[in-house]
Amino acid sequence: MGEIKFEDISIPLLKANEAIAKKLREKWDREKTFVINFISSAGSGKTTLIEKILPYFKNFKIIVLTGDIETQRDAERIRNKGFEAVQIITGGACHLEAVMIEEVIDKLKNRYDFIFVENVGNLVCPSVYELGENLRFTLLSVPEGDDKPKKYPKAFLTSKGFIITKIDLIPYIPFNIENVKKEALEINPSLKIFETSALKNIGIEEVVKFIKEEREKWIKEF
Amino acid sequence: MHEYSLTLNLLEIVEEEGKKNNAKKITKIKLKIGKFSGVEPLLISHSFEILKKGKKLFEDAILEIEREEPELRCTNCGKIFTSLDFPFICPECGNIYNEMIKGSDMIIERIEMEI
Repeated sequence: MGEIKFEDISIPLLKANEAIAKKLREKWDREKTFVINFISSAGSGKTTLIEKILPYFKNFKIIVLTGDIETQRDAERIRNKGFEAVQIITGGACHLEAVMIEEVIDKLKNRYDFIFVENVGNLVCPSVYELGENLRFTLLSVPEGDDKPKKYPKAFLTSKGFIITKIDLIPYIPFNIENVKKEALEINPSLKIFETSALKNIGIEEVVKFIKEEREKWIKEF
Repeated sequence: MHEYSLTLNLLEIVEEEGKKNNAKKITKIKLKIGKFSGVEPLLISHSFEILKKGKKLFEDAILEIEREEPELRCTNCGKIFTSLDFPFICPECGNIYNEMIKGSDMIIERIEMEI
């Protein structure tokens, strides 16, 4: 039996990701790139919402990074709309980490005004990982149910915007939108809430306006 | 589940610390996991047991996990307080915009090793 040694340290594990996120943020600050991270469960309408938002940004240099466990499908959907997209295949990982973004960013040749990051469909793990974004949205679709914010608080706690999607389905599904908003605001009183339906073109312009305003505020800081 | 990849990070960091100290074995790791870290301690324990298999440095290692209560700082009056549930309201001035200063990370606090 050898000698026993104790080492008292304090190494925050999540900070390892944050250090890379910070590096990305610094690079994007230098290049004036505004980055948005969309988080939600699978099937709540991230890709569809992004498809609706993109045309409002056609005068800017933009790219979409889509994270999924498998397939190129989401990036292909975006490219079919005439926009640049890179698929990040996580190969099993249930969230994007800053290091995965860094790997893609290092290979890009152009600079962009906006990077839209569509995270892996999951309301839990992606909320733990900062990607160096300026703006984070959490999406919740009407069919997912109105009891979700307090069940999955971290996503709401760390977001600036909360987008309720598929509100055209409210007449067919028990979903108390006022309760959802109240719960979300109890978790994070500064949340900006949007009620949208991408299929019926409801609330999309409000989201676009918010993104542009947030970018303006950020640009003024320089 | 992101606990598996976090546990991989944990083992990498501890291995590094072990090497610095010329450790023969890691005997204990103490972890603190914040209540609002989004990390599930049970899954960390399971991942640890799986990942340490076949690694000589970790074969006798025990993982001890402590939960960390959230600590908040009022952005209005600076009061530091704890709250176990939403909404996080400052008990001093009633402010609802507060910054979480503890309880949102997972921290390696202590490594015990045989050298």
